[in-house]
Amino acid sequence: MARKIPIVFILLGSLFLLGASFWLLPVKEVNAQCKTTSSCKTCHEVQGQDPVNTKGAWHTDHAYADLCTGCHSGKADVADKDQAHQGLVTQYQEMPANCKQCHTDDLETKFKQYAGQLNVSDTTSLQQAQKNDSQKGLSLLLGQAPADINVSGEITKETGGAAPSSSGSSNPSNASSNTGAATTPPQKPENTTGNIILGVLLGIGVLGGGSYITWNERRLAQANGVRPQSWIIERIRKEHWSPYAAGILLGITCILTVLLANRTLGASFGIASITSTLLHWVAPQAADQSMYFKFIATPGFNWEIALLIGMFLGGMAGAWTSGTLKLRWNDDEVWIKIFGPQRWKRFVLGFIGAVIIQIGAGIAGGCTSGLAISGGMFLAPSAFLFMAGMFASGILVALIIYRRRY
Amino acid sequence: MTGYLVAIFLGILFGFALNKGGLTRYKNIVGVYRFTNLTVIKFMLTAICVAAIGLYVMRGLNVIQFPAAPATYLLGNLLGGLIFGAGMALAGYCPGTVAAGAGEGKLDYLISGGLGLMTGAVIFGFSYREFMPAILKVANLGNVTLPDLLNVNPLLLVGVFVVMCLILFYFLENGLKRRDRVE
Repeated sequence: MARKIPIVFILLGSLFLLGASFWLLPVKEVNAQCKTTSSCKTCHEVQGQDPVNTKGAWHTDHAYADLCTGCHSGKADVADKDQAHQGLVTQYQEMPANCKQCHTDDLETKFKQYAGQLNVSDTTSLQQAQKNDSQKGLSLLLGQAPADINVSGEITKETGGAAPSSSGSSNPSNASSNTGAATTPPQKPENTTGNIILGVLLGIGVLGGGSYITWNERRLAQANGVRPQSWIIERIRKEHWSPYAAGILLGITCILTVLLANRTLGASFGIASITSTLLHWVAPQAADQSMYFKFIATPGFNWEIALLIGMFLGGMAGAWTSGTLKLRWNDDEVWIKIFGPQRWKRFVLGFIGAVIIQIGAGIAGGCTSGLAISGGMFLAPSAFLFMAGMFASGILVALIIYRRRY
Repeated sequence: MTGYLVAIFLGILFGFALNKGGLTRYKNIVGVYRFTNLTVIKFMLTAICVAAIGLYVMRGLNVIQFPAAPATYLLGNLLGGLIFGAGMALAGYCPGTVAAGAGEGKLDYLISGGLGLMTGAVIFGFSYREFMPAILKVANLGNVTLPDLLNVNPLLLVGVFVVMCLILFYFLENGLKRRDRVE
């Protein structure tokens, strides 16, 4: 009988979910709020309010990262459109100073390439630009620059390369970009009766499941002759939880993260931020040479670093409640059996492993928490690709390390 | 400021779950690659199932709206995963468990893990421009999710995923583990 219980649970769970999915079939997809790490990308690309990634080679070439504010200014961390567009630059009297920060050696090539696509035939503007370079940056793309912002997608080039009349082209492009973004206002919630019933059912399910588990645990504890005194405290003090119980706690944490902060959990980006901060502190010029530390992992205290501090404290709290909190060197019995008790081995191999881990996380765009779990919960394909890669190479490395003992 | 307090609160829950789930131990991490100890799979998939149900149902009820999902660029995700897994099997931790394990007082996590991760970040940061833009351009689908890609009702897909996980859990508890090898 006891063996059949999981099957019953699986069947009930699948039936419930199938039912739930039919209840929700007519529900409209709601637009995500324009508030993430980059609200530009969320509104323009993800929601498709005014996609620009494919408009012009300069956009395509820079679409791989959140580089919007580098050229266009504005605020990438504000949800409100008007606030986010404050100080927005859509046309340039001179080439954005930021171009130079990355393209130190190939600025000229890049300009020629983009100018070619804009059909700027004469290179006088470039030559002029080079003269003014030291003070003003490159004064070019005058009059042509608005074309890449123009929502209509047509390259409306003004004649005459160098002398622009900004008033002429600014208004239409601004107006069109505004209308493009304003066409889809956020949807108001629609509470259909089906949704209310589903919500009540879910509540009953969660409460019922919870109380069943509590009741069952008490029953088992009594059957074993253990007095169930203050059950919750007893659980918290326990050193090893069932991985399912800990997983449920993490799942709830993930939901709370979206609910309270509209973000996702992640650890590797916080590490990169800390590194960037330290690097800018130690060697600011060297750090600014790196595109990654200048534009992507920007220095300074941020949300991810606060999360890491919380994780440190959480680990501390977990060890403290189970009475294992103390400063110690490696004491893992499996490690000692395989590699021996020498401390330096643990430190050297741990260090090498950590270097590899952070590089891998950087390439993949997140670590086990930031990509595998935070992506998996949205059913993002990236998460499953990452997990597949992680297990494939992990098994290989374990085979090499353990050899005959595998 | 409130944002940072929320972050610390969420971090505490996260670190607590990692600690209690046993994810801050070398043997549990490496065990999953040897099929002797499948804690990591159980922990991760349970978290993903719970969070996926909660998030998609809550979005269906208009309670929440999604932040951008992690970006999908096929080559980078897979390549990064391959590199990441090698490091994880060697060291027995990942960036999250380094933070939680350091909090427990494990000096190998704090010193070798912390320094190693930061060194890795420096190497990645300074070589970023050489190879990352190229990798990011290969099959970059953006911040998509499977329901968007397949154009099906998301809850149906969540249901299928959860049922698959439950079946996997059932087999994990009933004999999929290698019993011929003790840790």
